[in-house]
Amino acid sequence: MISPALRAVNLTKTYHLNELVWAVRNLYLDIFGGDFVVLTGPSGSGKSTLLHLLAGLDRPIYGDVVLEGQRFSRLDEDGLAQLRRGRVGFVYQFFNLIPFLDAEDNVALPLIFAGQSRPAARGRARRLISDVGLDGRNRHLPAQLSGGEQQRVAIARALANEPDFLMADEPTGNLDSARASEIAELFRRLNREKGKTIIVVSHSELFHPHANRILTMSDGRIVEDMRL
Amino acid sequence: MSLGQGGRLANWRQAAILWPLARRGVAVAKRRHALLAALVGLSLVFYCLYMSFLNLTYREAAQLAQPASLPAPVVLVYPDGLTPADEAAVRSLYWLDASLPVVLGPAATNAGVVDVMVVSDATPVPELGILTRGVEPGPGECLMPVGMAAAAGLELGGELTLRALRRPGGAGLELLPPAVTVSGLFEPNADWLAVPLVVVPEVDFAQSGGPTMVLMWVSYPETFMARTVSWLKNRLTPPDVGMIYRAQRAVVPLVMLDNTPGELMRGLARAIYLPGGGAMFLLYVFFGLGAFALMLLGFLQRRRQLAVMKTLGLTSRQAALVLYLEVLIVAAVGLALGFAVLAASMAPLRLVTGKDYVLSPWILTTGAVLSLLALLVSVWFPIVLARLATVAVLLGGQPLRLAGYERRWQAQANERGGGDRTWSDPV
Repeated sequence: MISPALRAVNLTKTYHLNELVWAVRNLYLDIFGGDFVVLTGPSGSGKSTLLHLLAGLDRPIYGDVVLEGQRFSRLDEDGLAQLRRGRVGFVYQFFNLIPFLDAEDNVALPLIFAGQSRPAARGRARRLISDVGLDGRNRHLPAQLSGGEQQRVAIARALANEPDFLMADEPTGNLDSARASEIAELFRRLNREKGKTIIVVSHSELFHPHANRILTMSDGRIVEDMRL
Repeated sequence: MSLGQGGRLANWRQAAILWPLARRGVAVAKRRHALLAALVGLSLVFYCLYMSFLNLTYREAAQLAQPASLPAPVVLVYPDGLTPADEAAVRSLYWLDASLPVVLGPAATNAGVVDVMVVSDATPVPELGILTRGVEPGPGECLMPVGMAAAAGLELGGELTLRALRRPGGAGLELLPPAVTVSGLFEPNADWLAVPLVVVPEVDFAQSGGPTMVLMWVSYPETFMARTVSWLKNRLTPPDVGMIYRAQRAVVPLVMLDNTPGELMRGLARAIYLPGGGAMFLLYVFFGLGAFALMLLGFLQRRRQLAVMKTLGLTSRQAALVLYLEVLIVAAVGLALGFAVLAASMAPLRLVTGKDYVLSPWILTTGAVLSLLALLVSVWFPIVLARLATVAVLLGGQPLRLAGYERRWQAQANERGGGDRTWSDPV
């Protein structure tokens, strides 16, 4: 029996706004290596919160996330940072590139945090930027790149340390349809050719043809788990 | 690829790797960092100027406190100190000008040893009426301070015996009468630093060509100290105090004891150095608060960037290193600015004030270290926040709460009856 690469067990997260909001509620989830999972659902259903919890970007109130035997609850912030550095690449909707670093330096950041020398990190960053189809744009600042290009840089950055998992929160939410299709295709290639486990939060159905599993969330719970 | 080594690298190597990031971080927020550097520079300038002023004051006070360098020509210092009995009425005197026909020497009395000054008719002496509050003794009589008389067991009509003691330059004291009658008692006048003890008019001094009066003086060191410290507290500098002494020396003898320099320095410490230290403390509190506010503002402005970096694997140690490196860059710029301002301002300051302000390496080093320390302390809170806050919290989707807060809050919510009460161990 294949054991799941990523497990969420009784995962619960609340926010204390004016009233108690259950963003994720007693959620159990198993994700296997090589999966391409799309998390979908209406706004406020808890998709992004769940993704943040799965990536170790946030702490649950209850429950735990277990990534290949490592329980997030037993890791402090530094432990989570090191785990993300090596195992999880994360892509945000709004790219979140560091504005004062050029594309190459942005991509090199995770490598530098991992202790690589600057020349080595930049050399790998150049190759990654080339892999995502941005040859010649590596010395451009984020403000000099289009939205699609920025998202490609963000994806290259997420892949810098060759993580097993690539998680993306609405990666095409800020792009036009042509650029969004390109990004979806890039994710498909990473899943099929590089064997990355991909979890994407998306409103659109752009990723559905590439996914092998579509999870629909509502009120902090998974209400539909469709395996394709 | 070794991915976890970033957390294990030596600090210096981490610092070298993260240096470009810190440098660009400083360059991006130019205005805020320029303000911070200006704060560092200003704190250094204020500290060094103030310390230079204190240094000058100290040097001048030390000069004043040195008996040899006092403006007064004669200072009697009792190297062994005074016995407690003697302290009731200090028996020393110094007089004003060696050029005056003054005969000076100690004399033993039944009230203890006193110093005696013999002046001629030509010597300008204080108005006795002022010094003794209008009571004037006749020939062969003396007036005594109440305290001294009481300590010696003397009353009105009693006899104060006088016997000259050996001291170089004491010629003529042998002519002192063997005893004088205590004809009056008086309270020492607090407005004067010294009061006459005995007035013996019409003494025949054959050797000095007809001196006419013998004055013996008593003075109270605490009066002297209180007055000196009071002047200093009223913003008079030691040179000013010296000028007052010089102006008053025609009428006011000054008594210095062997412990007077120490007392003077302690008085100065109370009057100037401690308030000065307080002022510097407040300056650094102000500077620290300013730096803290700017650091916190910078942190809040960059929390999203920090969140992204933590997403990419930035550890708390690395975050702290980046922030410390930024602070060091700002400090280097601020200190260079401060040193430049100081270098440019010292010559005009000396010219305008006419004072010898000195910036010693010790003052400069302490100023730089204190400014740097204040800056490092001010960055401590942002570092704690960066270390403990989760990425989601830093991203701004949630209020800025530290890790663990949510769980504690939830526990409280459960106690109030909300939420899921069960905690299930997942594995």
